[in-house]
Amino acid sequence: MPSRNRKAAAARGSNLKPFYWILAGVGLLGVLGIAWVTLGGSGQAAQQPVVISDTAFANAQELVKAAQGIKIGSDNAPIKMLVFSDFQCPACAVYGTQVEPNLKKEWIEPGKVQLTYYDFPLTQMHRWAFLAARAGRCANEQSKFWQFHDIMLSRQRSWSFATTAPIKDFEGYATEVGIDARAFRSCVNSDKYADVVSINQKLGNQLRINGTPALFMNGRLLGREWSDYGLLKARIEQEIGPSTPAAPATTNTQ
Amino acid sequence: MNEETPAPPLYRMAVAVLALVGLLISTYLLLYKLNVMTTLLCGTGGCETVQASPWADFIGVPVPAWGVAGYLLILGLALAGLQPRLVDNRVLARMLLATATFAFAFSAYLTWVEAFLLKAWCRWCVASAIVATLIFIAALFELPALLRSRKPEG
Repeated sequence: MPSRNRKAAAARGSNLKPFYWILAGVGLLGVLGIAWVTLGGSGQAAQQPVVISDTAFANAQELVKAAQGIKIGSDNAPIKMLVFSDFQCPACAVYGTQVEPNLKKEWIEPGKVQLTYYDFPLTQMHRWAFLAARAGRCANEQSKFWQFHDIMLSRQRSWSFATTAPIKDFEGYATEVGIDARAFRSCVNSDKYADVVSINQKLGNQLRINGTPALFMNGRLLGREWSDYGLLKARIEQEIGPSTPAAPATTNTQ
Repeated sequence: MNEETPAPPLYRMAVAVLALVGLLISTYLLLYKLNVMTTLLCGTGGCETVQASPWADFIGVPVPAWGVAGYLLILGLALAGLQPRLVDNRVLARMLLATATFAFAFSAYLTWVEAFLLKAWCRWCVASAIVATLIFIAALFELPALLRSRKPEG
């Protein structure tokens, strides 16, 4: 009997081959997996700006064009406004949820103001600002930028303090405003628009913006108007004059 | 083939496969730590938080490097322990059990740090902790032989 056991044992002992095959298979799968992820095949969410060379753009117009500002309102509007904003900045949430809705309703929708949005994520201060800016651009792909913008700002406190990249939160908001979650996810989980958002930052820096939200009206940087719709309204009325179809001032930053 | 050759224990095969999985996970995390990769595939996992924390290094060496070394050692011991000549080697059995126990305790400590100090979970770290736990369970099968061999063989 013991002899038979030993024989069986010996047979098993000599038969480690299948085990080595399994081990090799696991190892190969793992190495391939790591290589795939390392080479970016699976897509990784870019969270930091990329370097935009100073010589990348021949002139300011090219830089503005490359920044791909997101417009709302008529191209014929007498007042052209620009906003440089950061989804994670609390002041931008105040402006975006309390001032901008009135601006849209009373001036943009009637065709008197056109607003162009530029990203200015304060990446030194706001950890998820760059990712959020990219997410906004991904929403814009599906023509839902402004809806996504509104929900991102109104829910800012829910995701702003996340200890890990709040991609799932963004996906949730995207779905809520009717964005196709799958396309949005694959866009966010990539480095798509990392360059565009970085170009936006460069544009903001060249315009010497030192905080967000920064509002421009017909080429001039405004002050505290972002914080108070009354102030902004007065400024627009002042610009547009008593008779509505007044000619706009210079639009050199547009 | 020598008739006296003992069978390679299945639990050591399990330890070897698990150690390889752990080695791959640690390698992945180490590559991230060394900036070979810029972002970890984490979903909502807190790998960035965990890896950027003061607990990401242990005695000046990144935790994933400890993982790579530990899993390599366990893998080596388990593979050696499958060789007919070393199946019954008690020193090797003790080393394997000791290493697995240490890896399990270290993983438990890291998981505790994640849960109570960082309050952030890195899925890959959790995966590694699960692997370490399974290795420990498999390595416990070394115990009967180690205890039995104190008595004379019947």
